[in-house]
Amino acid sequence: MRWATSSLFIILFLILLLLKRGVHFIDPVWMSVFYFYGLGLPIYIYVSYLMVHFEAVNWASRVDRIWFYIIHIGIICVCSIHVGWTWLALNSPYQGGL
Amino acid sequence: MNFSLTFPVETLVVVGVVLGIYFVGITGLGLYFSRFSSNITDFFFSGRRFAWWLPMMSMVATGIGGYSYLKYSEQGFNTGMSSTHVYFNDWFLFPVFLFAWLPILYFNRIKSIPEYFEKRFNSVARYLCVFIILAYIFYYIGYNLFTIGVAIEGIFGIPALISLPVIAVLLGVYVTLGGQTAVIFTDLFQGMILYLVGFLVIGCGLYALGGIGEFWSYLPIENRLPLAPFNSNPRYNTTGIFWGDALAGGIAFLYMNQGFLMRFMTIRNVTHARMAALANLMITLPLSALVIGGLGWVAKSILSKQAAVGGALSEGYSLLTIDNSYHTFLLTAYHVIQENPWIMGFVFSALMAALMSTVDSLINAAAAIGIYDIYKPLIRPKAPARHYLKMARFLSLTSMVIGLLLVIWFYQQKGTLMSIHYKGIMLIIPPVVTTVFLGILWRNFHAFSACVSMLIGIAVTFLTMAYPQPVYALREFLLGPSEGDLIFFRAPFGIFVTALAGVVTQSIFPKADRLENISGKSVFRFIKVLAQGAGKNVESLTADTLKKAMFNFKGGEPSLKRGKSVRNLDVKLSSNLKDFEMGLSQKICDQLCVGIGDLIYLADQRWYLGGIRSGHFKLKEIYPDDKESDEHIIYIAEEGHKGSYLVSGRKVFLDKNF
Repeated sequence: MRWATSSLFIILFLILLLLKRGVHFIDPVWMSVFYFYGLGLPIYIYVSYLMVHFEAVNWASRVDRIWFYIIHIGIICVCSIHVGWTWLALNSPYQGGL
Repeated sequence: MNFSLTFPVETLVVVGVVLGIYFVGITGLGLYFSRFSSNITDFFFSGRRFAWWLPMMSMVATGIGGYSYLKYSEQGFNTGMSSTHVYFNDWFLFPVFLFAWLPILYFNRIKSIPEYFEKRFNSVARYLCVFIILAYIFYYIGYNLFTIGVAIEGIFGIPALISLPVIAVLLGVYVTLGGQTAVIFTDLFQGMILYLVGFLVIGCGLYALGGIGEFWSYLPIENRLPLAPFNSNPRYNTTGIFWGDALAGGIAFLYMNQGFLMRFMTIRNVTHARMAALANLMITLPLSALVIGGLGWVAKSILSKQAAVGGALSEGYSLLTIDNSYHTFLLTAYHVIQENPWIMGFVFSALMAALMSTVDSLINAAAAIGIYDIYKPLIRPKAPARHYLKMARFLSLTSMVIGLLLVIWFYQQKGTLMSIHYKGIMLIIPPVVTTVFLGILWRNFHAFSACVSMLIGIAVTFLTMAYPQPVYALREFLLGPSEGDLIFFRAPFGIFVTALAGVVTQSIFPKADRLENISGKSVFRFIKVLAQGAGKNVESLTADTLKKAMFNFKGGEPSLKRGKSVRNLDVKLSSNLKDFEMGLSQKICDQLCVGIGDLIYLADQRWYLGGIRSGHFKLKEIYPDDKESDEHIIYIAEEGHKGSYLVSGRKVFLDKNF
C-alpha cells in the first residue's frame, strides 16, 4: 500500500512539475506562489500521510492529535499570508521616484 | 570586494567602548553559568532539563548568524521583502521532524547525528557522516568569522588577522568553560539584543520615512512581494529557493545541524521539544526574517522617497547613498539613527552578538562530535568523567582554531556573500540529509545501501565542480533555460543522485545481511565492510517503531495516562535511595498518575529558571499516606539532589513524563 501511494505521489509530482513548467499564461508573480505551494503542499500532505501510516502520530493520544492539527493550521496560515501579501503588494499604489 | 567605509574617529571610539563593555559582559555571563557543567552530559546537553521557551529563545540567536544582518539586508535592499522567503520555507517536511526525528533522537538518547548513523546503519556510515557534518560545522564557523572580519575591517580598518583571533579568544573562554548551559543563557541574552537592535533601527527608519504607510507607498512594487521572482533572476528565484533552500538547506538545518539539534536535546521531554520547534517555526523565524532584512526594505523606500522629493528626507537626516549594497545594514542604520555614535555602538554589539551566538553553538556541536564520535569510541573508551570534560574543553578550542584557519580560504573566494555561502553548503549536505530521510522512513533500508549511496552522493556531487553539465540539465528541467550561477541546484542534484543510488542498491541487494558473510579478496572485503550490520534489528530507530523507542527509553512499558502536575513540594534526602531514584506518598502518585518505575520530572518551582535547577527521576518507592505532612514531601537521594542543582529549602514541582 505504501509503495503504491509513494509511486502515485512521485508520478503526480512529476506531472505537476511538468505542468507548471508549461504554464506561460500566468503572471510570473503569481507563478512563484503557485510553484512554491503547488509543489510544496503535495510534499507536506504526503509526509503527513506517512506519519499517520507509520503510527508516528499516535491517534490514541489526544496530545498527538492536537499537534497534528496545529501544524496543519500553521501551514494553511503561512500559505494564506503569502497569497494575501502578494495581492496587497500588487494592488496598492506606489508613489516613489525610482 | 572593497569593504572599506568611512566613519568619524569619535564615532569609532564610542563604538569601540560600547563593544568592549559588551564583550566583557557577555564573557562574564558565560563564565557564571559554567558552574552548571559538572560532567559531559551537562556540558553538551545541560542535563536535558530545560523548559521549551529557554532553548527556543536562544535559537533566535543561533539562527541569526554574524552574516545574517549583512547578507539579508543586502538581499532585502536588492530584491525587497522576498528576503523573508528563505525563513518561511521550513514547513513542508516539518511533520517528519515533529513526529519522527525529534522522538527518535530523544527516546534513543542520541547524542550526535553520527551516533544515529552507527545505531541505524554501521560504523562506516557513522564516520562518513562525521566527516560531512564536521565539514558543515567548520564551514559555518569560518563563514561567520569571515563576514564579521570584513565588517570590522571596513569600519575600524583593523585587519581581520588581528581582530578575529581576539574575538575567538573571548568566544572560546566561555564556550570552553561553560559548555551548552553557558551557550544557551548567553544566547538568550544575545537573542534579546538582536531583536531589540533590529526593531530599534527599523522603527527609526519608519519614523524617518514618516510611518508605515509612507514606507509601503514608496517601496517599489517588485520589492513588496513576499516570494522571490519566479525564474527571471538566476541568483535569487523561487524555483532555486524551493529546491535548494526549502528542500535541501532547510532539511540540513533541521535534520543535520548538530548545533541546532543539541538545543532540542537539552529540553526536558518530547512535548516541550515540539513546542520549541513549533514556536521557532511560527514566531521566531518570521520575526527574525523581519529583523535582519527589514532595514534593507527601509533603505530602498528611503532612496525612493529621496528621489521623489529631490533630496534628504527631512531636517536632521543626511542624504542616504548606498554605493556598495554589502554595507546596506550599517549605512542605513547609521543614517536612520541620525549618526548617533552610542546607538551605533549598540548596533555593532548586535552584529557581534549574532556572530558569537551562532559560533558558540557550532563550537559546542563540533566538540560534541569530537567526544562522542571520535575520542570516546576510538581513542579512550573508558576514562573518568572529568577526563572527558577536560577533553571536551580542549576540542572546543580546537574547533575555534580550525574555524579561524578557514577564514584564510574564505578571503580568497570571489562572488557575493550569498554565493560564497551556498558554494560550500550545497556541496556538503546532500548525502547526509538524504540518508537521514531514507533511514527514518524506510525500515528495510540497510547499512550497505546507506554507505553506497553516501559514497556515490559525495563523489558525484563533488565531480560536478569539474563537470557541471548534469546540474545545468537539472536546472533547465526545474527552472527553465537560464544563465549564471548554479548555487541552488547542486544540492537537489546531490540529493537526487544519493537517493537514486540508495534505491537502486536496495533493489539489487534487498537482503544485504548475506553480504556480511561474503568472502574473497579486495573488492569483496570492501563490500563486506560496507555491509556490516546490514541485517541488524533497527527497531526504535525508524518512524514506524517509536513505541519500541519509548519502551527502551523507560526500560519498561510506557505509561501514557495523563496526570496533573503537583506543586509546592518540599524535598527530603533519603539514604534508602540512590542516584536519581525517588520516593513519593500514595496521594502524590495518584495525582500524577504514576506507579513504580515511571519517569518523573522534578524542578525548582521558580518558572523563570527555565528548568536549570531540575532533574529526571525514576519512581522507586511509594509510601502509604500515614501522615498529613507526607502529602507535601518527596524523597530523593543526595546524588540526585546535587545532580539537579536544587537549592535546599526551595519548593519544587513534579510532572509525569511517561
